[in-house]
Amino acid sequence: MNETKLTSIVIPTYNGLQLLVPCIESIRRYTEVPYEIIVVDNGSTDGTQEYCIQAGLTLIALPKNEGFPAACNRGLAVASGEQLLLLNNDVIVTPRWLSNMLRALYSADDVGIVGPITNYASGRQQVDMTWNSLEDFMQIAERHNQSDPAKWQEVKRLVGLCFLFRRKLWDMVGRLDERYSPGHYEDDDYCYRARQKAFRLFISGDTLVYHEGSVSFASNHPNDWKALIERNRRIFIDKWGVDPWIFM
Amino acid sequence: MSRTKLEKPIGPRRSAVRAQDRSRRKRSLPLLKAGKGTEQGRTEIGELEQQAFLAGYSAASGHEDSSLSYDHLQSAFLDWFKEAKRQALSWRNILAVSSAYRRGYNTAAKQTLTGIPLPLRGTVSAVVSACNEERTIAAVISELIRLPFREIIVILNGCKDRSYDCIRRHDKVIVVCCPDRLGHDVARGIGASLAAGDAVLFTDGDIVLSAEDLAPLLLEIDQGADVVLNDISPYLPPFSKQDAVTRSKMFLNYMLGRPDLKANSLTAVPHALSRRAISAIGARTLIVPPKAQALAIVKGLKIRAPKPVDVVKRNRLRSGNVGEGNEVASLILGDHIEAFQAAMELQGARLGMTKMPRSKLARKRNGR
Amino acid sequence: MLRKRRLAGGARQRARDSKRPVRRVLNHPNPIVSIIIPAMNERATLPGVLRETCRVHPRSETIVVANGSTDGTPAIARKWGARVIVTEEPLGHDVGRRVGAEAARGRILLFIDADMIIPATELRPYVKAVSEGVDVALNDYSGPLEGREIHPVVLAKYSLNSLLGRSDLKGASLTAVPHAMSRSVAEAIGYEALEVPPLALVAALLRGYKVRAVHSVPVGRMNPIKYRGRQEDPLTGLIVGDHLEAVHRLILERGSRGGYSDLGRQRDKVR
Repeated sequence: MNETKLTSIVIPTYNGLQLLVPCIESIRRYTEVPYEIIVVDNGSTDGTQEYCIQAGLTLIALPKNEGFPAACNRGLAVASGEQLLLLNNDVIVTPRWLSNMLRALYSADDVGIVGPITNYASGRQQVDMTWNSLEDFMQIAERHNQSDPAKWQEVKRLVGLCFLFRRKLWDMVGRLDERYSPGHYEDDDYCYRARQKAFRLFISGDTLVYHEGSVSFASNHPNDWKALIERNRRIFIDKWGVDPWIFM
Repeated sequence: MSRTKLEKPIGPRRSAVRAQDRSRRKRSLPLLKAGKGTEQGRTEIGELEQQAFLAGYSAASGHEDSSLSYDHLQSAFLDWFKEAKRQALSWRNILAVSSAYRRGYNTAAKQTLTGIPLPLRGTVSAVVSACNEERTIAAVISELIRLPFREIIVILNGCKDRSYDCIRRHDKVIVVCCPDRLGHDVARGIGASLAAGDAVLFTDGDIVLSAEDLAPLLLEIDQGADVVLNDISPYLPPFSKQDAVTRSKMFLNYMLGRPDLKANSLTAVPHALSRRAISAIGARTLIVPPKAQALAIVKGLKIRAPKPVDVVKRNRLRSGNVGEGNEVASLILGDHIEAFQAAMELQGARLGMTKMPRSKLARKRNGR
Repeated sequence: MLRKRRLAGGARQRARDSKRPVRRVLNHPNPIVSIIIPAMNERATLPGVLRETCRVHPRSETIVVANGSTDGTPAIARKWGARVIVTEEPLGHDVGRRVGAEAARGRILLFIDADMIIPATELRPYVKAVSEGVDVALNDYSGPLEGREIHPVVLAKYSLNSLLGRSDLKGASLTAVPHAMSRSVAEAIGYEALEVPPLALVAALLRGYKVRAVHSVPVGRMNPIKYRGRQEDPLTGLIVGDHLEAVHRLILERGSRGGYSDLGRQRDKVR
């Protein structure tokens, strides 16, 4: 039973303690299968390291902000699980989130990456929904998250905010490309490489998670953010000769 | 304070006089120590040291105080060394040249930098395993910062004390905190998996080793060795007084055809591994150091032991570490048995030793 | 059964000449001690050896396994009254020990070699130990320890003992003589185990037999130099290889760590 093997959850974070705490708490409350949490701190100055140590989490404290892909790679290097999962610090997980996704992941030998549906994400994982409060959202998720293969959907690209993949895929595809630092399109790039190795990608439509969608960088530095998106899109196009948008 | 930049090396005495004239600080030029070796070698090294001093001086001159740093010293030395080096130098000579360069740099600069510049061709990561070492960890890291590591990874496992708080925040230091005790040497495997350098130096958080002690290992691993060990031979008692662990280390080395390694082993720190060695041995195998040693020998990796570093006396007595019959000694004996098992899987139960039929042997020895 | 016989010719002459009276080996019909001596071409020393063995214990038998000798060793042994087992082919002294042990009638087996004369007073302690409850009584001599380089065989003996948790035995071994064991131990571990002495030691220790180093006879210094070749003595490789087989046996019986704990290493944390 692969579902009972360990899942390593890697959470890069930077000065996001207020988001990180509920994220961790939700994992602890709603994960029914074996897991380990590895927080990769990108040089936070808001007490993140102290919280992680006090909460008994495995922590990789980097001296300065190395961006999302580099932080992911550090965490994945230390991860020992048979399954690996990248998680944004502004995601709150929901009942049966991981067991549902694992079922999709191991439904066939060539399924390599699985992602959930959520209230906010670029591409096909975002669903239209309304909710009043976080508690309300959690109740919706509780009702919704019943494992259902009919809701699994094969896609060509998944977002990195909640990104579950096999160790075998990690061994074959390798690390995230750090040229995309500080972030954006490294997930598209990884999905492209995974498909090149004949892996399939699924959205597990039976798994709804909450994404706060903090866009502090984007909102604080909108022009820089747009420039970053464009630069990274260019990197993808130069690498693969196609526009990442066509896979979204 | 004005400092005139030296345009080109003039000649030792005159430039020395000028430097003294210009400097407002009452600082006498340090003597340039000649290297050891042949008369010819000594002269050559002596010349190189003098050139190094002047080059170091030049590198620091004319720079704002704020830009003078170990990083700058290191990169300037690296550039100079690439051009100045005539032939392969021993680590002793490299360190002498490095020291002269820094002396020149410091003479011209405001700070007295203590970092050791090294002409590394690749990058080296440091991995420090620590558990409840708040007394020593800060000093350990202070010494590591004096070397041009790409990164210093400190693995704290099962720490119940203030070790994390005692680690100096530095832009090269990565701290990994594992909440549970991982067990002996597991941290080495984690560190090896995490390290990004072309080579990795391993040490422990409870032993403060000077940068001077560690520098030769960095040089050897950077210059192409796969495994660099601490040469603990000078610290060993005579055979009859050695303990079971020491004898096991020797036994393993002898049986695998490396009596020259004596009792030197990956069990002891400090040691260094190239990326090639880590791939060949496997990060997971580093958890059992004697097994890693066996695989390194069997796979024909280049193993060197350039210098003795005294870890024996400084090894803090931990509970459970006193006396021969203790827990850790038993663990190490078990590790050596695992090592033999790994070697025997590859080379057979007799590791290739003769199994000449005894009758034939008897005839050979006693026959008339 | 004692029978006095007049010594013939030359023997009488030699008896008059020698300082000690010549005795014959007396093989007791119900021996307690069996003294086992593998011998190949040892005519020079065998008489002296036998002179001592017959004084070790009143109820003893001496078995000379004269394998592949061409110098009249079997005849000498027979003349001295020892039980003689002759094989055409040379066996090597380890196999000779096995052959002798299989033929032994005593319940205490004492093993010595034919190329060195050890006084009976130095042999009795081994017999005494086994009669008092020690299962395997070893020579407490650990080999030559002086000199800068340690001999690989000495290292192997010490290391095997340490890995078996018996550092107290230092360099004692079943490779070296003299040693004694109870015949029941030999039966339990199997006589063929005696052919590879380190294996026999491992077998005895793993079965929980009482193994002690009881008395020191410095055989290293006494051992006449046999091999003067330039190359390393092939016997060294053989003995060392035997010790490795013994380590291998330890692994087979007690697991890859020989039974030692790894104190809870979390190995799964590293892929």
